[in-house]
Amino acid sequence: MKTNRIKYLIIFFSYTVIYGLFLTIIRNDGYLNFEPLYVSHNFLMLKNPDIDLVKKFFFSYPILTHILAYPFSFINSLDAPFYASILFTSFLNTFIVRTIAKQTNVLFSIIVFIYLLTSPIFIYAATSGTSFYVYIIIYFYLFYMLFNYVKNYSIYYLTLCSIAISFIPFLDYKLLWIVLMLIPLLFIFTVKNFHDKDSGFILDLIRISKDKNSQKLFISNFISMVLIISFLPISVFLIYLMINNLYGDDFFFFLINNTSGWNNNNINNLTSTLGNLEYSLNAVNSFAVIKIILLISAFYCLEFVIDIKQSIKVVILAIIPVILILLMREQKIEMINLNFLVVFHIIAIASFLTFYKQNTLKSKNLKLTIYSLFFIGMIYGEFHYFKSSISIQEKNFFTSVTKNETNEILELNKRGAIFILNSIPLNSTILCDNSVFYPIITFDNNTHHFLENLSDDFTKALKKPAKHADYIIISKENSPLYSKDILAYYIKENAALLNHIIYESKYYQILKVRKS
Amino acid sequence: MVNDQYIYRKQLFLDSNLLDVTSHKKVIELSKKLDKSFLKIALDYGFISRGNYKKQLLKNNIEFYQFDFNTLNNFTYFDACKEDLYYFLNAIAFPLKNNNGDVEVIVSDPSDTNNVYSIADKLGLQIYKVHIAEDLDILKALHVKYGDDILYKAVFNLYDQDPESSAIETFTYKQVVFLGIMGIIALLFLFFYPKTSIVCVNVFINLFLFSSILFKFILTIAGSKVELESKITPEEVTKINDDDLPIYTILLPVFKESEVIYKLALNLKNLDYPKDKLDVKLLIESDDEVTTNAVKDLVFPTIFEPIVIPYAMPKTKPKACNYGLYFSKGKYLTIYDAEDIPDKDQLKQVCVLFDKIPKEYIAIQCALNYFNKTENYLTKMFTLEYSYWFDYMLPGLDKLKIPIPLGGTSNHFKLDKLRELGGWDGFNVTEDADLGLRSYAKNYKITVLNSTTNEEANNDFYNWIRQRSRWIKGYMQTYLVHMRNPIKLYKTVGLKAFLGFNFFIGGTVFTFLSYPVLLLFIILYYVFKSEWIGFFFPEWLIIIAIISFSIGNIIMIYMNMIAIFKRKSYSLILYAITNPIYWIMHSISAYKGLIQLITKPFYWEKTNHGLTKTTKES
Repeated sequence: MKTNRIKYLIIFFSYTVIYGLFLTIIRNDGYLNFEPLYVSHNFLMLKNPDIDLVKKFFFSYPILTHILAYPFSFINSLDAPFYASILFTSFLNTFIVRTIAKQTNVLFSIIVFIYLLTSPIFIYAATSGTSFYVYIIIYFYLFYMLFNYVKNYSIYYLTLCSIAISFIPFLDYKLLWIVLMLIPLLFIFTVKNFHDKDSGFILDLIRISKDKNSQKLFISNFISMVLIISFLPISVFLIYLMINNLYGDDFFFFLINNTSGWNNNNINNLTSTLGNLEYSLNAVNSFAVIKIILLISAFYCLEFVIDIKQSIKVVILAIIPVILILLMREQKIEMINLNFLVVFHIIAIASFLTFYKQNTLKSKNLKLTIYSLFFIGMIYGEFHYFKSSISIQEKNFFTSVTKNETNEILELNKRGAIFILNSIPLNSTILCDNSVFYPIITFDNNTHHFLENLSDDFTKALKKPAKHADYIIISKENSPLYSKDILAYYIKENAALLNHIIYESKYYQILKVRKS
Repeated sequence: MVNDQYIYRKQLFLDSNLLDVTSHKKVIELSKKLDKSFLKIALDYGFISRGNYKKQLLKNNIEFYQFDFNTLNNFTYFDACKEDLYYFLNAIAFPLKNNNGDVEVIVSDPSDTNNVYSIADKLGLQIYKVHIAEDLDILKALHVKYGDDILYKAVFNLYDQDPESSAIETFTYKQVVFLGIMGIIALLFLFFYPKTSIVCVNVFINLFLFSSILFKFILTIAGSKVELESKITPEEVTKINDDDLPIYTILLPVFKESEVIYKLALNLKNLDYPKDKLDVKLLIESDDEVTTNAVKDLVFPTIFEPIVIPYAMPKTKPKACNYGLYFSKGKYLTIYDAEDIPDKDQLKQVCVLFDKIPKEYIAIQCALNYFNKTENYLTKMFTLEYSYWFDYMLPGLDKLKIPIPLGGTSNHFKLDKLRELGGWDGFNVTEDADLGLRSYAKNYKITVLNSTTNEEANNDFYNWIRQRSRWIKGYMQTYLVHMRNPIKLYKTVGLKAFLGFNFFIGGTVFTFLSYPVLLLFIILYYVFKSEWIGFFFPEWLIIIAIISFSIGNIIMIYMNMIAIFKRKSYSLILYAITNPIYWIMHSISAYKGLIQLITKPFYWEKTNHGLTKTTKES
């Protein structure tokens, strides 16, 4: 027991150290991304006594990413999102390796270890600093428990499923649709509870429908299962909405408030240069979606076919991802990025871990060979996915790692921050729309006093900048973020201010305010 | 010797059809084997009923001797009875001296002259006259006259052996001083820093409440992991050879039970255990005429030996059980309440499990549930509560190796270890929870078994409040007793068990006391938009309070929902949503218990049984 614990500790530290080294290298090469900067910005703002702590922290979205990274903000606010993503991804990887090691030999465990270490998806999860790692952990946990329920039919696994779903509203509330997707599965599970040894699913159903007592028990059993899965997540989400209404006067304050997410301006999810794209990830283009899914779902296809006789497992594999994509279309989501697409990959891993021993490939060497080949194939597919992705964060990551290129907007922000650090006196008050310029604020690292959007001082400064601010950062008309910049609306007529430009970049200007 | 009421045995038992020939033979065999009188075996081992026996005696024109229990002190004291009370109880014989100084004896069996001669030998005296009385009256007289030493031990044994573990003192001197100092410090802080103090108190209450609930949730999940596991298989039980089974003591403490005695007698008959290896003690308080008359009037045979507890304060179930413990002969012992319906093979399952588990395990707690679960709202909520407690939380404690507080009944002990621990604390109104923790403090362990005893759920609001106030008061007593020396407790049981104890026992009490306070806080702020809440408490604290209170309630509702699955009680699931209302009832009981803790700590709130119209079969 103790030897095993030490072994897994070593595996965990190996992942942590290797991901950490990789991150150090890419950051030294200039890797930047929107979401980690946004999270760091929030941590820095928390140290500002003037801000509304509740609105700033509790309604930042996704709040789950903030909570997971918050403990690391005491070490370093700028690195906190990365520490969290490395640590939690390493935990997940260690768990996967540990689970498969219990079922197979050392060689295969090493192969799995290496795959997880070199998989672009897992590298991205660990080192991008985005909330992607939270998605894969929740997906993994949810489906792993679901598959285990199929093996054991113990309420323990359904409970843990429900707990996993309860975290979803704090990550992406749209994913709560998963609850509805599970209802057909729960129906199947309930029929299984009434299973007779010699009969099949349809016969079980017929038998239940013929007897009134069985019908009653079946319905109450089914309703109970639905409640167990759905009660916790829906209640938790309702409480969150209630708190939003209490403090923000709107149940969806966390969505409408433009400072509550890294891309709440909705413009940051588009790339600044479009170019020729092999694939469109627009949600309504289902054929393109299928093509992109194939890139990252070789494993999913393998799990589908390798044990096709395990009917419930196959049903789960089929229902969830397909319904997820269909619902994304119904919700008119503009972009499907890896946060959603990865469900195919993760559900396959969860299935692989649960049913590895039972699958139809009995020959250990054949199993080893087939899975190893698929792992290599998956690495290639994932790499190609990132190459083709137009999701801004994924694209930033890929271009940064492979070409040492930084996103133009972020690079410009960084230069602006350097100018501010070098040229603007310490503790000067700077007015800017945080939802647009949070990268600058983050780079500044609390050296200067930036007025927070949700503070009273910001509102006063918007009306009388001369009285309440020393400097202003404002978007230029050619900036893709111009229409979202609240200052551009308030300040554009004020010629006196606009004439005193002390710094200018492609997309924004820094103005020194003339005191009257 | 004058025995003018002598009847031939054949006439009394066989010709009257009280016993058939085979049974008569069995009684004689058992009498010799167990060294008890003929009538004792016949009455206590289910051969004849007391009611029918009395009728037969009356048919034979027997005049019963009428005891005046108020003047028992005037009767001559026989040292032989004191030294070997057990002998006289088995003989069902009470000696006395008449006005002339002649020794007379009161017996229950007019046909058993051998018994009378044995008594004479025991006393070393000649017996002048024999009187006849009902066996219960004779037993009562014996216990009341000669049971004082045993009674003293029943009340004070634990206190004499281990005073620190007895709840005879609700608050020790050190605890009073400590609470006093804390109170003064709190007042000073409130005076000089009122806002900060109130904020700190609020934070503490919220955090502790939420942590307690979360802890129980973790236990429930841990327990659900072993939901499908069974420690004993049916094959292991069927393989048992009855001859290899040990003697099993069952204590049945009763008080003012009339109707329920009938059900009790039937339930005992259904137990799958060799009759001659059952040592069943029906513990009746000496002033309990209701139960005494009910037992006397039973018209079907029963398997129990009445033990009459002489009157002494505190009048509690643990004191009664301690008294019965003195007369117990089994290797294992369990307690059942009057209305309990245990699984038929529960005793056998326990025997098998004790043989399987390591020796440091000295007690096994079986699951409790209710046969009248759908009777009304209260019974439904009670069933949900017991289901998550016994089907999920206790197995969760077992799995995580945290001390298990025993339930009121169906806890099975190794008798020698129970005596070693000093029995139950007669001053603690939840003696079961206390004993569980005391076991751990002495490095013994307790486990759980998936065998059910069905009970009657309280279906009356006021009856429920009384019962629950006693339980919560008992938890308060248990907490105060075991936290007299927290450092010592921590060193003995370890960190996990120490924290488990604080969250489980202390947390339960704290939760129910603080729940209405937090509820009021939330209502004032959210519903009435009270401004003074905003004045005292910062926004971040209000939001934390709302979140922890709401999520705490949701978790509790969810735990109740999980509870239905093991027993497939699906019809109850929607009632789980009303758990907050049920908790308000708990809070009422908690405050009642708190007041009683100070005003009458040893007062035993009697729970009325036999109120349900439901039977297990229905």
